Amino acid sequence: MNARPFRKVLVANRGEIAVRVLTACRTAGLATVAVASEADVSARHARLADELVVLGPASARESYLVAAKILDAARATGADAIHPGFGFLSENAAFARAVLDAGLVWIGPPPAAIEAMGLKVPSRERMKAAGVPVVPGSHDLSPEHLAGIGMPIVIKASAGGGGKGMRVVRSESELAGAIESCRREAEAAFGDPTLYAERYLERPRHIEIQVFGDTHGRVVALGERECSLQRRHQKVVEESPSPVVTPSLRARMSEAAVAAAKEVGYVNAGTVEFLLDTDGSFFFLEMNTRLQVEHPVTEEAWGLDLVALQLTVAAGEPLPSDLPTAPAAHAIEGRLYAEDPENGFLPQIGTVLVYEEPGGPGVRVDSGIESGSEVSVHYDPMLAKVVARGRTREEARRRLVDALGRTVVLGVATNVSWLKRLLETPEFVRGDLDTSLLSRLEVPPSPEPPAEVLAAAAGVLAVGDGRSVAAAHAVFPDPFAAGTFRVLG
Amino acid sequence: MKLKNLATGTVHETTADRGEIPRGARAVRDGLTTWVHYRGEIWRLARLVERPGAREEEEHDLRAPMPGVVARVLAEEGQAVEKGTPLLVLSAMKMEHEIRSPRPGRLAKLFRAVGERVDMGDPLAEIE
Repeated sequence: MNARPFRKVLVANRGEIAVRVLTACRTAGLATVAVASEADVSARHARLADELVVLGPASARESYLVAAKILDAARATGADAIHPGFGFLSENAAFARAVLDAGLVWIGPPPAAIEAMGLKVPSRERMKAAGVPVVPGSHDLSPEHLAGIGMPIVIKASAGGGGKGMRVVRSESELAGAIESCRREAEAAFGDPTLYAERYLERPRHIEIQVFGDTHGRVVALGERECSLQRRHQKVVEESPSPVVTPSLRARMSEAAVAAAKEVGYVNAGTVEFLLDTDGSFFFLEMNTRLQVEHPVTEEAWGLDLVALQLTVAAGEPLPSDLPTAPAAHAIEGRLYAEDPENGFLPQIGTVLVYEEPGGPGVRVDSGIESGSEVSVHYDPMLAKVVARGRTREEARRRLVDALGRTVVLGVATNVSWLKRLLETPEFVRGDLDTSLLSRLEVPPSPEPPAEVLAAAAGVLAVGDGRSVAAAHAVFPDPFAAGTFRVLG
Repeated sequence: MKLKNLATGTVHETTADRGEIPRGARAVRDGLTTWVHYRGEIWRLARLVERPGAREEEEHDLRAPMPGVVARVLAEEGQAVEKGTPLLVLSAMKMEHEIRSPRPGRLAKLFRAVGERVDMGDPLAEIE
């Protein structure tokens, strides 16, 4: 594991997670190296680090996904540790092994644990053997085996994650088409067309347990996150604790999650995902062998810095003996995506002309963008995460609604206003969630603009050259002006 | 001035076009599209400009709703299509999006083949 103290960390990622990890490294007094594609050289994460190495062209396949270039960058800068963030190479066991073989510290789990959990079929079998409850399923997609599972069935990419390459099938007639398109998406996204199928629970909650292991054999659970609000299997809103997980259920799920982690010799931060059925039974879904996108809700609810803990454990130190055993607050996160909720959530690209983050008590924003950032087709459309903490769930929810209203992103369409309306639905207010809720929930439509908004639009259109795409005029209200004020330029 | 709400498609008319921005509103412009943040909501409004013949063109063309790469073609030229018939699949940001016919008719022309890149607004097909 090469677990030993280190002094300079290379963060092999981009966007908000690179900013998050680089900040934690700086806080810990460590020197930092960022990597960037040619499209990202002036991005927020690239400017935050002490040193920057440019990897190659914008396409991730030619930059962030090229293990050899990352290792060269570490060598060239004298970095002695690598943090992979999430996505990209974070769950690539061969890369983790190459980092260790190069004599560097890998701020993540052992390669063998990544491998053991990376393929859904063997990991499920192994968890079953270790006594962790699993959903009935099959890696044999022949009709007779699928009949044994019972409808509905979900077909997934064996090497997949994040909802890519997944299809839900409700009748036998849809089966052949779903398998074919799933196989193609799996091949394109992961280079591996292997699929597996399992029973699809109709209205389960997605509950995941944060686990943490150190190199001294200790594995702890740090509570659950509820991530039931998903659209096309992509998480949209997460919270901790879950509105339905009682202390005794938390204890049982934590026990299963720790057993799963210990089974594969887990070290560092990991997440064991479960489906929670309406009757309180739960089933192992998969283990994510990395820091999770939604880790901030655990941090806010439990009062922890999980990235700082990752650095501690990677340096070979034991986990602190005084970790909390229960959440001290409630935290909710909304993911800000560059997408158009009113037009089928299609991904959006463009230049962020104005960006402003909310602040205030209990409000946190993890973001990789700023005014002037380019949102391109090359990378994930998630731009930022807006998180609010409260003494109660309702306080956290109200703070998040207000914070989202003060999150200003102009120039690229995002889901920010939609998120706000989602958090105001009676279902969310009650905490009555399940993984299919978003597919049937009627989130109120965007309101029509009041006269003030039409006047503002007309006002900004009245200046400059109407046909020039480059001529974007940022207009800021003057706090000292009474009523209206005139546009300059 | 006529302004179209890009979220809902509703067209609004306003006479306030003297370059004044109401207090508390923030607006930017990118060509004919404006973005306004006001009281916790964000609107996208496009100025409508009268263009002769524009309507006819819009009726026949199916344009790419986003940039991407054509992953699959699901229909053939000359084929009769219903509203909602899948025509092709665009792939972008590692996700696949099915492009369906907006109305019944005949697929007169497909402008793109598998593997070709498209930008937002590029014509994809002509439905007669």
